[in-house]
Amino acid sequence: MRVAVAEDSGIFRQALVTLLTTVGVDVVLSAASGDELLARIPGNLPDVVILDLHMPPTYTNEGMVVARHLLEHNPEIGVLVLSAHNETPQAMELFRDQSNQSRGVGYLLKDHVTDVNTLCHALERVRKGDIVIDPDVVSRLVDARHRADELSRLTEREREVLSLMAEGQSNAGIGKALLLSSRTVEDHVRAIFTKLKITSMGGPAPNKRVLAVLTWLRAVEPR
Amino acid sequence: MVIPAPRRRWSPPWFGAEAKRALIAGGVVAGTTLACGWPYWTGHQFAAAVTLIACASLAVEGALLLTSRTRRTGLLFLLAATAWAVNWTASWDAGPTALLSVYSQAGFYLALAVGVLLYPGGRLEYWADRAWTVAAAVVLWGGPTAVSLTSRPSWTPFGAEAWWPGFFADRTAFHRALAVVGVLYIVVAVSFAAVLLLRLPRMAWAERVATLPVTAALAFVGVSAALTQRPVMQENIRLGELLQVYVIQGVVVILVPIALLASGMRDRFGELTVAGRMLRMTTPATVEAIRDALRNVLHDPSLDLWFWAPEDGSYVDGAGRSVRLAQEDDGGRWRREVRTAAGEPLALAELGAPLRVRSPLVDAALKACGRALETARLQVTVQAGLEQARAAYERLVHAESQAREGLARDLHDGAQQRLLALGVMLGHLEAVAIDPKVREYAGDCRRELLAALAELRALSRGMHPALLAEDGVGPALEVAAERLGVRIRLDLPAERFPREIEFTLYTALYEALSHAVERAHGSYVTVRVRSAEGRLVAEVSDNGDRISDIAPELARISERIGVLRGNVEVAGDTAQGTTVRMVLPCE
Repeated sequence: MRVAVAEDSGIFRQALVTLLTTVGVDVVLSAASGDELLARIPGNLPDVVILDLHMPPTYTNEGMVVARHLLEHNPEIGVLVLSAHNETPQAMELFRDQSNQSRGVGYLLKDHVTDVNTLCHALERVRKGDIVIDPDVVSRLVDARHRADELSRLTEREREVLSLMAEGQSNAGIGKALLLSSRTVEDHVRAIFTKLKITSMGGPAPNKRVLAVLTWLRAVEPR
Repeated sequence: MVIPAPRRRWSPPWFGAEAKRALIAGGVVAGTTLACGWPYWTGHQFAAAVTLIACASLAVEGALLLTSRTRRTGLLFLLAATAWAVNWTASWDAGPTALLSVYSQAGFYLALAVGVLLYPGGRLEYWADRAWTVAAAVVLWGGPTAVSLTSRPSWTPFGAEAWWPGFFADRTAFHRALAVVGVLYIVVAVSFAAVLLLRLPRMAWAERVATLPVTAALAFVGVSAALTQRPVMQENIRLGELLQVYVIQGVVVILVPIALLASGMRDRFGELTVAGRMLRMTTPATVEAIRDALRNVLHDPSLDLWFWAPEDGSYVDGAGRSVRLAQEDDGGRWRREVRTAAGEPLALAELGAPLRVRSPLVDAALKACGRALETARLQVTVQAGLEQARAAYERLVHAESQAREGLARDLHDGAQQRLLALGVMLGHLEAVAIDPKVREYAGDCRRELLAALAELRALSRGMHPALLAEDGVGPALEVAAERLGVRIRLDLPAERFPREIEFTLYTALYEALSHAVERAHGSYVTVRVRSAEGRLVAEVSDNGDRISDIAPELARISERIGVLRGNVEVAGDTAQGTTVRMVLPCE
C-alpha cells in the first residue's frame, strides 16, 4: 500500500513513517504541511493520505481543508485524518457529504495510531472505500445517549453492534470483532434499527448506514 | 464659578461703570434732542418732555446693551436715538435741516429695526432678515429721495429757503411718489412684523424668551409709524402737523426700551426663582436628578454634566467613567465650569449655544445646585473607584484567560506531541519485538503512556479547551455536552468574539450546562446566544427538575460575568426546567 503523510510535528511524523515502513507500508511522501503535500502529490500518487488535522498556519482545520480538496480532485485517494483531540464536530464535518459516495474516509485519534494493528486496519478499510470513525468518538456519543437512558431498549450485545456500526464496520467486520455469525449480526442490526426507529436503512451504499447511525446518535431531539 | 465675598460699597450695587456710561449716553442724546428741537419745544413743553424721555431711554438702553453679544444692537439703538434727536432739526426749518431731518427719520427706523433683528444673537441669522434689511434700506432711503427730487420745498411742510434737490419738480410725479412711497412704508412695516413672527418658531427657548417682548413692541412701533406717517404724505402739510406726528412716533418708540426693561426684569426674576426650583428638584441629590433639573430649568434637553475627579485629573461622567472632552465651540455648544467654594473645579456643564444669551440664568441655576453637585460628586467618586476596580478585574480576567490559553497550548502542542511520538515509537517496538515478553512490556508501556496522555488532556481542557480557541464556543460546548451526556440544541451566532469574552461565555455556559445535568438531572438543554447592540445574551434552558434556589450554585458564573459588567438571572417560571439568562457586554 502506498501512503502519503502530512504532519507538522517532526518527531511524530518521523515515528509514524518509521512505524509504517516497518510494517511494510510504502510511504511515498512525507510532508510538514498540507500545502507541501498538495504540491508534491501529483508526482507521488498514494492510495491513502494521512493528514494531521491541526497544521500551520492556523492550527485549526488545515487537515480538513486538504481532505476536502483531495476528495474533490483526487477521488481515487482515500483520506485518513488524525487528530490529537476527540472533536466530534470536526469529525462530522469530514463525513458530512459522504452519504452517497463510497469513498474511503477516516477519522482517527492519534492515540490509536500508536497501535499498529488499529492503524493498519484503518488504512486498509479506507483504501477499500469504507468509512472509519475512531472508537472513542463513537463511545462518547453512545455513552452520552446511554446515560440519558435512550439506549435502554437495546441489549448489551446490541449496543456493542451499534458502536461497531458507528465506527464504520461492515457486518463481516462486526461478526469478526464479536465472534458472531453474519446471520446473527444481521438480526442484531435489524433489531437495533427497529428499536431506535432509525428510518434510513443501509441500502446499496454501506456508508449510508454509518451516517444514519451517527446522525441518530448526534440528534438534538431525543426520539 | 466663585461666589464672591460681599464688598462694602457706597453706591447702589447696580450703579457700576456700565450704568454710568448709559446715563451719560442718555444725557447726551437728551441734550441733543433738546437742541435740535428747540424752536418747537419752546411752545410745546409737554411734547418736549415726552420726546426727551423717549430718546434718552432708548440711548440708555442702547448703552446698556453694549456688552459682548448684544453689542451691535446697542450701537444701533444709540444710533437710532441720535438719529431721532437729529430728526428734530426739522423744527429749525432753515437751510439743510429739512433734508437732514427727512433722512434721519429713515435712519432712525432702519437702525431700530435692524437692531432688533440682530437681537439677541448679534447676527442676521435668517435669509428673511437679510432680505428685509436690504429692501427696507432701499424703501426708507429711496422714499425721501424720490419725494424730494420731484417736489419744491414750498409743496412740503418746509420753508421755501430749505435746501431741496427738486431737480424733477413736477406736481403729478410728486403726488404719485407720495402715494407710492406711502404704500411702500406700510408694506415695509407689515413685512417687518411678518419677519419678526417668522423668526420666533426657529429660535431656541432661551432666545425666544429674550426676544418676544421687544419683538412685539417693535412690530407695533413699525406699523404705527407707517400709519401715522401716511396723513402727512400730502402736499401743503404745515410743519406743525408734521412735528406733531413726530411727537407721536417718538412717544410710541418708548415702548422699545420698556419692552427690553420688561424682559430684563423677567430674566432677573427667573434668575431669582431658579434657585428655589433647583433646590426643590435636586432632592435627593443624585447625578440624574441634578442633570434633569438643569435640563428642565434651562429648557435644554441636550445639557450634559461632568464631574471633576481630582484623583484622575480629568472629568468623569455619572458612572465614574473618564470622558475625553472635545474642543469647545464646535457644533454650537458651550461650557460652564462650576467651582467649589474653595475655588477648585467641581463640575462642568455643557449647554446648547442659544443659552449663551441667558448666561446669568445658567450661572444662577448652577450656583443653586452647588451643594447638590458636591454631594453628587461624592457619589461619582465612589462610582469612579468602583469603575477602576472593575477595570482592574477585567484586565485580570483578560490576562488569566490568555495565560490559560497559552499554558493549554503549550501542553497540547509541546508535551502532547512528544508523548504521542513516544507512543508511536513504543508501538513500533511492540511491532518489531521478537521476544513476546518485550512485546508485552512495550504494549504495557504504550497503554500507560496513553493513560497519562488522557490525564494531561483533561488538565489542558480544564484550563482552556483547545476546541474553544480553534472553533469557538459552539463546537467546544457541543463536545462538552457529549462528555456530560446530554442532548444539546445550540443556537449560536457564527461570529467570533474577543478571547476573554469567549472564555467567560464558555465557562459560564459550561457551568450552567453541568448544573442542568448534574443537579437538575436534565437530559435536554437548549443554549441560545444572541449578540445585539454591543451585548451578548445567552440563555441556557433545561428540562430537568426545578430547583427552588439555584442562585448560590450559580454564584461563580455571576461573579465572572459581573467582572465583565454583565449580569445573570434565573427564570424558573416555566412549567418544567430552569432557564439561566446571562447578559454580557461586548463592544
